[in-house]
Amino acid sequence: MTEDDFRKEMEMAKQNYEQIEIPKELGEMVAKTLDKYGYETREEQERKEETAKRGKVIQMRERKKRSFGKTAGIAAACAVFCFTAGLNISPAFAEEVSKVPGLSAVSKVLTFRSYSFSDGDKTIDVNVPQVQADGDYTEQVNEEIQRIVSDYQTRANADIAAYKEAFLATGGTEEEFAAKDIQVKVDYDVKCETEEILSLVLTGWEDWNASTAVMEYYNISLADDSEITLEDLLGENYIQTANEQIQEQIAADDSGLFFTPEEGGFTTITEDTNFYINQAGNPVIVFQKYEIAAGAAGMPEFEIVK
Amino acid sequence: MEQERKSREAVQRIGDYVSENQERFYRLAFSYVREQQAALDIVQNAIVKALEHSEQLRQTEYMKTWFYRILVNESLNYIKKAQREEPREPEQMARLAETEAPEESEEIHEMVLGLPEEMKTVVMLRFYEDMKLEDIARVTGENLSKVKYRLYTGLEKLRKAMGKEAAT
Repeated sequence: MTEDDFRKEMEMAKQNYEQIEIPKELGEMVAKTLDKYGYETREEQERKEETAKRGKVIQMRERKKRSFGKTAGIAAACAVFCFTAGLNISPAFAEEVSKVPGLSAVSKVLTFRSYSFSDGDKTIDVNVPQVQADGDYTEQVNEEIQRIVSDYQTRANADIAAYKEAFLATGGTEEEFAAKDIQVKVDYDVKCETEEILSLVLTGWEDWNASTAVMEYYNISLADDSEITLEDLLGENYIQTANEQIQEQIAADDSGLFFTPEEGGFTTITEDTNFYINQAGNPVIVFQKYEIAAGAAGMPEFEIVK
Repeated sequence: MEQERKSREAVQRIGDYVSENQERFYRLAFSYVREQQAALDIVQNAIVKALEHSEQLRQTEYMKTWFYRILVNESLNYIKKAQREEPREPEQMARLAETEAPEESEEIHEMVLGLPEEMKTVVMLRFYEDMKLEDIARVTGENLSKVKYRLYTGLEKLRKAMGKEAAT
C-alpha cells in the first residue's frame, strides 16, 4: 500500500469518526452539569447585564408588543408579566420578588432555562419554560415540554445533517454551508397569565426551512392543577359554539384565502383542536398553515367569545 | 474575594470551551467504550473533574490539552473499571465481536478502534483531532519520543492490517 493510499484511508477513517452519532441527551447533560457549577451561558450573562440597568425590565414588556387594557384586573396581569420577565433574567431578582407579600404566589409560576450552543453547522438557542407550581399535572407538563424540546433538537440535528449532506453532494463547500449560519430556536410565548390560569405556546423553528416549525399549546389551570379544555371554557356544547363562530368569521372574511369545505376547508373542530387563552380569558382556536386556508393566510386564529 | 472571582472566571472559560466542543468529546469517549450511556458518563465525569480542579487551569492556551488529558484518563479508567467489575459482560462480548467483523465502509476506522489503547489514543488525537505531537505528549503525559514511537507503531499496524485486507 502506497503512502498516498494510506493517507486516503486515514482520511476516510476520520470521516467515519465524524459520523459517530451524537445522542440528543448530550447537550442537555452538558448544560445541566455546567449549570450546577454556576456556569452562565453568554445569553444569561447578557440578560444579567440588562437587569443591572433596571429600567430595561419595562422595555421587555414593550418588546413583546402586548396591548393591555385599562381595567384593574388586566393591569394586574401586566404587573405579573413584568415580574415574570424580571424573574427570568436573574435568580437573585426572583428571590427578591418572591419575598414581596402578595406577589409571591404569581411570580413563582413561570421561569425558564435557556442555553445555546453551536457546532459549526448551526446555532441552537433554547428557552425552555418551566411551570413552577406544585402538582402532578404541572409536573407532567414540564416533563412533556422537556421531551418535546429534546425531540425537536434531535430532529433539527438530523434535518440539518441531511441538508448538509445534500448540499455538499451537489457541489457546495463546508465554508459555504457554515456561512449559512443556520439557526434553530426553541422559545415560548405567554398568552395569558393570572393567578388561576397559565396559557403558553411553545414554538420551535429552523430558519432555513419553515416546514420544520412546531407549536405546542398548554392551557393550565393553576388553581386546580389540571388542563383547561375547550369544554371547560365554552361548556358542554363547545364544538357547536366554536364551529358556529368560526363559520361566521370565515363567512365575514373577504380575503378569499379560506378553502371551501369541498376544497378541504373548515368543517369542524374536535376535542384536540389547538387553542390558547387570550387576555380576555377567551379561547383562541389556531389552525395550522394550509390546514383550512392558503399559505398566505398563515396560521388562522379565531377568538371564540363565551 | 479575588480568589472567588478567579475561580468564577475559570468556570466560565471551561464552560464556554466545553459547550463548544462537547460533540468532539463525546466522539472520542465513544471510540473507547462504544456505548452511548458509557460515553455520556465519561464526558460528564470529565466536565465535573475539570470544573472541580479549575484552579489547575492557569493558561488558556493549555485548555485543550488539559481538558483532553482529563477526558482520555476518564475513558481509560472507565474501561479498566468495567473490565475489573464485569470481565465477561455479554454486551462487551458483543462489542468485541463487532470489532472483529466490521462493516465494509468502517473498516479503517474499526481498525483504529481495535488498536491497543495507548496507540489508539495517539492515533486518534493525531488524525481525528488534528493535534500536534507536542500537544499529544501533554495529553498523555509522556515525552515526545514515546508519543512518536506509539504513533508510528500504531500506523505500522494499521498499514499492515490494511495490506492484508487488500490482499484478500
